Amino acid sequence: MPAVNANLEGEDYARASREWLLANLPDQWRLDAVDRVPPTLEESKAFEAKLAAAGLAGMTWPVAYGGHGRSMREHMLANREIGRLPVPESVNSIGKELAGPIIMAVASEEQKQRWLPNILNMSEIWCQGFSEPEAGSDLAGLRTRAVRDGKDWRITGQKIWTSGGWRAQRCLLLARTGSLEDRHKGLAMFAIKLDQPGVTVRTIKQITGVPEFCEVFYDNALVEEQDVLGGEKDGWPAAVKVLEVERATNRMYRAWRIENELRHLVRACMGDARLRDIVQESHFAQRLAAIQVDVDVLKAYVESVVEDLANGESIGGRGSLMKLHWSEAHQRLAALALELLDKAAQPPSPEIAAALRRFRAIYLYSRAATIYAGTSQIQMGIIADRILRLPRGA
Amino acid sequence: MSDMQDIIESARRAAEACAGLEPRAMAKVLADAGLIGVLASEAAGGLGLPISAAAAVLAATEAQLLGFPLLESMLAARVLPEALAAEVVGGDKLVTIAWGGDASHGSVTRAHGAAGADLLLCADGAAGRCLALAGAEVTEEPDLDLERPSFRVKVAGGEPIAPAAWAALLADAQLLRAAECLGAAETSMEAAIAHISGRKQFGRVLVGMQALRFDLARHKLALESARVTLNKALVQQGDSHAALVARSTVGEAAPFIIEGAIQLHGGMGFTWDVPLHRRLRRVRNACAQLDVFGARQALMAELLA
Repeated sequence: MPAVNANLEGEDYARASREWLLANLPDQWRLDAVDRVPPTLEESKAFEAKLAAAGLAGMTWPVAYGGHGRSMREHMLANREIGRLPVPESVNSIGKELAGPIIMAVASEEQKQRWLPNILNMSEIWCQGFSEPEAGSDLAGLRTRAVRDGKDWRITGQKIWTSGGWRAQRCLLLARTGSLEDRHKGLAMFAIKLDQPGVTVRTIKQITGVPEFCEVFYDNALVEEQDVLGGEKDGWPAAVKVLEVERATNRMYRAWRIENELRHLVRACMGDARLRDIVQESHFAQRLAAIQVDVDVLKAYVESVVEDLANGESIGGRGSLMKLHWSEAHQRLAALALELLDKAAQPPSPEIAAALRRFRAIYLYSRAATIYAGTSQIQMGIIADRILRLPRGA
Repeated sequence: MSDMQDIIESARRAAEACAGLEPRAMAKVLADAGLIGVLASEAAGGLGLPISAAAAVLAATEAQLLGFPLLESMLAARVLPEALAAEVVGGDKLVTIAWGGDASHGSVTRAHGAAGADLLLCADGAAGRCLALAGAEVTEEPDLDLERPSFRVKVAGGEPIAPAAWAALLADAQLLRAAECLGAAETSMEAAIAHISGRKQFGRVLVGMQALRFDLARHKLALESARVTLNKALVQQGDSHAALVARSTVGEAAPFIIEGAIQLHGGMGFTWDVPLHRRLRRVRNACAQLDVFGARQALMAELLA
């Protein structure tokens, strides 16, 4: 069945996407709903499968793999509409935003056909197995071992901070085929099935109170020959290149979602007898406007990246600039929101209570933003080394 | 695109050649390089290029600390009657713009290079005014800028400039000033990198120290964030939201980067001879024109609308 927006282009495509979202997103799931009831895992999966069928996931993925063959510009337009509405976070974002692009770049044709459609139709949820207790920012210190077992492989080791590991069926796993002295060499990528005797998944409670990320133990766990990604030697170097681009293009809705949060905050304040005056005082007005500027900076980066990619140009290390910027901008917004909302008339109205619920969660969750996917310190190192190309100064 | 590179390179060379010259001689150098007429119509002898071209030129001349009101001349040459504009474009008439005060109050301020100039543009309520400076009372005002002294001018007579044209001039002036600021910031950052790449302390070259590398990474983030928003505002001319954003990012980033470059130079950065303070002085003046506070007020008004 073709997607509802399949024949439309440009802003018409964006409008159709928005209309579909408005018609299909249950009110109570909205992140700004006063009477919010979050979707269950099964409800999220069903909704996201519908979303993909409607042309709002896998936008740039080829039609042959369940995608919609759209351009990067259209991908941005659809993400703009997704961001503008308070749609719940995907429960398969690792599959869609990380595993998918890597599979597209390094996997065999057979693997693409086997894995990619299942990511979009939500029958297979992916997680990411890179970090280990002894290898956080420094992946070269990775210890999890992959050893040959006939044509197959056996995995032994421990992974940590595996977001969504508890609900995933497959893990994009990085393991060592060589020795520890090989550092970055001798790493290979596997698409390991998690539902097997050699795999134990334990949730870890986060500062948000939610047990979302996991530690995953591999004890002689099996990876069949057909599930090795991109070959024993070439897979990881190729994936690193994909990850550099992904840092600039993943979750492209982000700028518009942060703007949606900013507008929610202002709306909540203007509806409150006390906050209505406070929010318009210079001190808070200036800081709120500064968040709007943060949002527009991110939009301008995204637009420049999409433009350059469309013109076949390199985007260099821009992803590191963007990640350093948005992760801190989101933290600024969340802190400002709590500072404001805590001054609301008491007892809080249902609208203020709903805003507090949303922004308290964002405040705590956004602590992770400057840590995951390369800490802010790692990003600054990349900017110094690869963008500014500062000499080592030995 | 290579045409643009040529213009930028000739701007850099012309600004270099202007060092130490009198204003009229500078005007000739800049006019010969085609720079004063970047925005002016072809009928007035100009190039009729979009504002992004003027921005690139001004980023390059600001890096050289050009002591001539080039930004003012470019904008005036676009708004003046054709014959007058042609004289400005050719470097035969000197013009400047008063950024402070209002003709209706009798005197205007912040007119860079008004002493010795022939024409002055200034605000007159919502409209603008253009007057001849011959015989006008022109007094130097205390100012931070060391290359472009600032003057107060007693205003009498002159021709009106339509409100729409004047408003457009003011809006474009802010974007062009922002482009100058980024030229100054980028040059200052490069100077800081060169300085710490050559200097040894504690038995090692300073650039190897992570604390300093992280400082520079922060400067680079501020620079590129300002640049990407300014470019958007320059391309989407007339988009008032994009302009507010650009004023805000550049107005914060430029002094942050130059102050940081002074810090990275250590004691050298505090000396008169190292020109970083000259850039800082000019950028501080520019910030008054960018008006980050006002830009944010307008952005907040949008949020409340």
